Amino acid sequence: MNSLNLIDLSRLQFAATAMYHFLFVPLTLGLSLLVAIMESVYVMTGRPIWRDMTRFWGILFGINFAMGVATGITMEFQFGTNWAYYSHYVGDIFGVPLAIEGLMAFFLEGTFIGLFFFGWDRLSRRQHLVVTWLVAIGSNLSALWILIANAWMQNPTGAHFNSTTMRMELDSIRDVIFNPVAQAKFVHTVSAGYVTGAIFVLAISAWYLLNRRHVEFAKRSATVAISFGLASALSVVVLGDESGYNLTEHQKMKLAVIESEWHTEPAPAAFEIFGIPDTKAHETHAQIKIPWMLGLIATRSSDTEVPGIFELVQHARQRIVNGIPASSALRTLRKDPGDPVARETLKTHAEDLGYALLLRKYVDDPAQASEEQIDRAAWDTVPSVAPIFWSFRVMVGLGFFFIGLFAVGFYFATRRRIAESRVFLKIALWALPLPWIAAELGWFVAEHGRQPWAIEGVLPTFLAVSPIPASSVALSLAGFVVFYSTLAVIDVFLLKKYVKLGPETGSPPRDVAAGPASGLIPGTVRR
Amino acid sequence: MNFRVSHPCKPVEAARPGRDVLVALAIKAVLLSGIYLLFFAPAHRPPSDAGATAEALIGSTHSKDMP
Repeated sequence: MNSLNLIDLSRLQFAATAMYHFLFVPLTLGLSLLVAIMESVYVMTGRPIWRDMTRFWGILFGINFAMGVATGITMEFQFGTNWAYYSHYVGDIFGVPLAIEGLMAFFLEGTFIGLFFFGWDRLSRRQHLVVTWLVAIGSNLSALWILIANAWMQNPTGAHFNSTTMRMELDSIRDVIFNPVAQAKFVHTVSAGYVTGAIFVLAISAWYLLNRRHVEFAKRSATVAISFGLASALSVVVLGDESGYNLTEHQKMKLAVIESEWHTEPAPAAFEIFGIPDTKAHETHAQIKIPWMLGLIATRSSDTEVPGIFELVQHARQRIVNGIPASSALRTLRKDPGDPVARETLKTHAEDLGYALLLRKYVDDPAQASEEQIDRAAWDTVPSVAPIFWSFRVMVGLGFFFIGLFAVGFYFATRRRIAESRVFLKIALWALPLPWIAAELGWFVAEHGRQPWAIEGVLPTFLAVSPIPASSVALSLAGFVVFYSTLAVIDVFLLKKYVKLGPETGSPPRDVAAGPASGLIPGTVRR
Repeated sequence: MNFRVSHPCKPVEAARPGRDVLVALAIKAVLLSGIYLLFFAPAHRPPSDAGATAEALIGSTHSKDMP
C-alpha cells in the first residue's frame, strides 16, 4: 500500500503543475478571440488603428502562448511515472481525447499561429483574418478535448471494466465526447478564459489611459474588452449554473460539500451565502441562507431534495457493501479467469467495485473489512468541506464582481467617458489578477471536490499512485517549482516590457487589391 | 521574427519580441528536457501491466493464465 506521504506529494505535484499551466491557458483562450474580433473590425472598416490593436494584442498573445505552450506536457510526464496504475486502468479512454487534442487542435493552433505572425507580409487581409480565427478556434478546440478528458474523470461514461486486462475499455466514443459534464465544463471554462482576456486588455488599457498614453488606442481596446467581457462574464454565471445542475446529477457529494449541507433539507433547499463549516462537529455555524435558491438552481424544481452529506455517506456505505462481492470476485478471477460464478458476481456488482476499493486503505482484502472500517471508508467519500465551501464562494463573488465591473465600464463606454473615469480605470487596473484567482479556485473546487476519487466512483486516488520513492516525487516537484517559476518570471517580464513599449501606431493601411502590403512592423510609421 | 513595437524612448529596433520569445523557448526546452531526463524518462516508470495493476488495486494473488 502506498504511504500517504507519497500520495500527498504526487497529488501536490499534479495540482501544482496543473495550476501553473492554467495561468497561461485562460489568457490564451481570451486573447485569441479578442484579437480575432479586433482584426475582423479592421478588415470590415479598413481603419489602421484596428490593425495596430490586432498587432499589439497579438504580440502579447504570442508571448503568453510561447510561454504557455508545452507547460501541460509535464502532466503527461506524471501520468506514466507517478500515476502508472491510473494510466493502465483508464488510459485507453482518458488518452483518446488527449491524443486528439495533440493531433488536431494543438497542431491547428500551432500551425496557424506561425502564419499569424509571419503572414502579415504574405497574406491578404481576408486570408490573414481567416488565419487569426483559426488560431482562436484551435485554442478553443484544445480546451474542448482536454475538458472532455477531465469530464470523464468526473462522470465516467461510455466504458466498461475488463477484469482480464484490468482496464476500463471504451464502449462509445460518442458518450465520452457528448458527456454532459464535458459540455457544461467546456463552455464554462472557455467563458472564464474570455473574461480573463477581457480583464487583461481592459487593465492594460486602463493603465495607458491613467498615464495619458496611446489614448485613442486604449479607449478602443477598453471598449472592445468591456463589451466582450460583459457578455462573457454573464455567460460564465449562466453556464456555471449548468455545471451546478450537472453536479446534482453526477456528483452529489461535491454539491453537498460546496453547500456545506450536512443533512438533507426539505425541498426546495436554501442556498448558504455565508457559514463557518465545522468538520469535527459536522455542522455549519453562523449560516446566512437564501431560501429556496439552492433547490431551484441545483434541481430546477421546487419539490426535489438536494441530498445532504450524512445521507450521501450512508448511500456510499451501501455501495461499499455492495461492491465487496465484486472485489472478491475479481480476486477469484485473477486466479481463475474461467470461474463462471465469479464472472457473474463481478458483472452484477461491477458498478460498486470502485467503492469496495476504498476499503483497501484499511485492509488488504475488502471482504475482511470490519463495520468500523466500512464506516471510515464511507466517510472518506467526503472531501474537505471548508476549503471547497469558501473557494466556491470567492469564485462566485469574483464572477459577480466582473459583471459589475464590465457593466459600469459599459455605461462609461457608451457615454464616451471611459478615459475620464479615473476611479473606474484604477479599479480595472487592480482587477488584473482577479480572473486568474477565480479560475484557479474553480479548478480547486472541481478537482479537490472530486476526492477521494481519481475517477469518480471507479478508482480511488490513493490506489492510482505509483509505488515510487517519495523522495523522487519531492525532487521532481522542486524541479517543477523552479521550471514554472522561471517561466512565470520570464512571462511577466516580457509582457511588462512590451506593455511599457506600447503599441506601434499609425502604420499605413494595406491595399487589399494589391495583396500583401506593409511588413509586420518594418516599414510602418509611428504617429 | 520581424514584428516589433515602438517606444517613445526607444528605437523600434530595440524591441525584438521574436528574439525574446526564442530565448525564452530555449530556456524552457532546456529546463523541460532536464526535468524529463532526471525524473520522468522510461527508466523511472514502474511496470503497469495487468498483473501489477491488479496487485495494486485488489492485492490479487498471481495466476499463470493471467497477463
